[in-house]
Amino acid sequence: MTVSTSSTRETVLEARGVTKSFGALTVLHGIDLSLTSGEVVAIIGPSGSGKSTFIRCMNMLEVPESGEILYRGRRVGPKFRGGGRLLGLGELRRHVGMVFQHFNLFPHMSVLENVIEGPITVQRKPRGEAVDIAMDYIAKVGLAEKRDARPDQLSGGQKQRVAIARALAMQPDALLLDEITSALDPELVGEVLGVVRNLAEQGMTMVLVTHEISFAADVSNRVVFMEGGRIADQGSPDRVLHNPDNERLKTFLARFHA
Amino acid sequence: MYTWSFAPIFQASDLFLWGAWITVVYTVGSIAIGLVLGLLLCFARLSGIGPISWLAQGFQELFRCTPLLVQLLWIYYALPLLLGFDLANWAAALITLSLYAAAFYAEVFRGGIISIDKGQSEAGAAIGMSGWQIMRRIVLPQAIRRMMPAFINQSVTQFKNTSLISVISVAELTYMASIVNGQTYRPLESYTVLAVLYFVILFPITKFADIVESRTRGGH
Repeated sequence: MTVSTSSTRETVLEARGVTKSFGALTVLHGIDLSLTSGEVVAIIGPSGSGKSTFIRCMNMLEVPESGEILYRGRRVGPKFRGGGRLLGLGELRRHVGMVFQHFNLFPHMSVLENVIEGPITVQRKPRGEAVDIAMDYIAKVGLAEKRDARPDQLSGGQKQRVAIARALAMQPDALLLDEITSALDPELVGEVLGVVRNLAEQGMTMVLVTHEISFAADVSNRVVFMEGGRIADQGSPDRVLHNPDNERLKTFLARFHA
Repeated sequence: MYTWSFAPIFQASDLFLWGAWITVVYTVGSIAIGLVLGLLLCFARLSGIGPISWLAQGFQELFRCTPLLVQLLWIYYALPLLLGFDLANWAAALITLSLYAAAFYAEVFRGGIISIDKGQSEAGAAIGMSGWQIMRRIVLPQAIRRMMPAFINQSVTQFKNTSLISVISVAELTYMASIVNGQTYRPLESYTVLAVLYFVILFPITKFADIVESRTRGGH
């Protein structure tokens, strides 16, 4: 695969000069990244490099101190509702889904209720329609027979697949996946990555923060290497992962090839 | 050797029953008002808006760090001097009990809400829910389950605290026992029956609380 630089493709989500600090610690030093429709961007890097903070900035779960996030060219404002030229957080998040490392399923709801929550409460869809959409995605992640199960009755891999279905049920424009296999037992990683691979093949626009280097190589169009709150290198998976010229990146990758 | 004689007490059983009913009315009334005010106080404290949060906390500390009896005396005897009009004893009693309950329920709510993992709110936010939708659909349903044992314990205390309003002559259970004592000159029987009545009402409720608590623990 090659880097998708085609100007005919529309930019879905864009970060411009995003900075963020927690107290005295500056975590992000001005990150620029734009995501075009259908593109899959994998963000790799050592722990503490700011990957997760950055992906959380992209849907404003962390509010950047400076810089901006744009969704389809519209700047996202700090408030839930938009106003003037600013897009509200609510609208951004209706179009840009997120899946978390620790699943964060709603434990007081069944699988189906978890997945219809967004369509019903946020999109105000009638229950019947929401259930149809939800069951479609629950089936796609292979859990149709678990529709009435509670989250505590599921394995980690099943929980994460429900979390993906919950994000998909909003029929988002793009998905942000924040280390979604890091909390899973090794034997459960495959089933979750399989779902993500299918999404990539169907053209879903995604940003994934991951430690699965070979998966990043396999599924992404572009790999971004972050270090110390900056983008240290980026390019096609082949160039970044197999022919790195950045010394830091070489050191980082050596740990995985060992 | 003391000779027990319950006959005169049983002749006054309608007074005890009426008193018990009034106790229940004040308990339920002050719990209902206290829950609503307590939830508002809790939201005020969690609002993150400095002055509102401080005001709510100040109110809470005031009512948690002074005795209920003192609050009752102050609201019934002292507050009218500032207001310029008298408060009926029933109103002073209901107001005091409700405000006192609110201060404690606010803490029960707050404890329940902040015990819910931040990831739950984030997951709600990530599908586009508003703050209020997250609170109503995601956080409160989980928090209420978790706060049930504390809520029941506080309500049992609230039931017992109603005995204090007898000092401003509200004719609840304890007040009625003192009336019966005055009529019969049998303090041992009068106050024993009084204690037994509180016990038989509250003992099943505390057992119920224990069951709820063990279920809550089992669920997590």
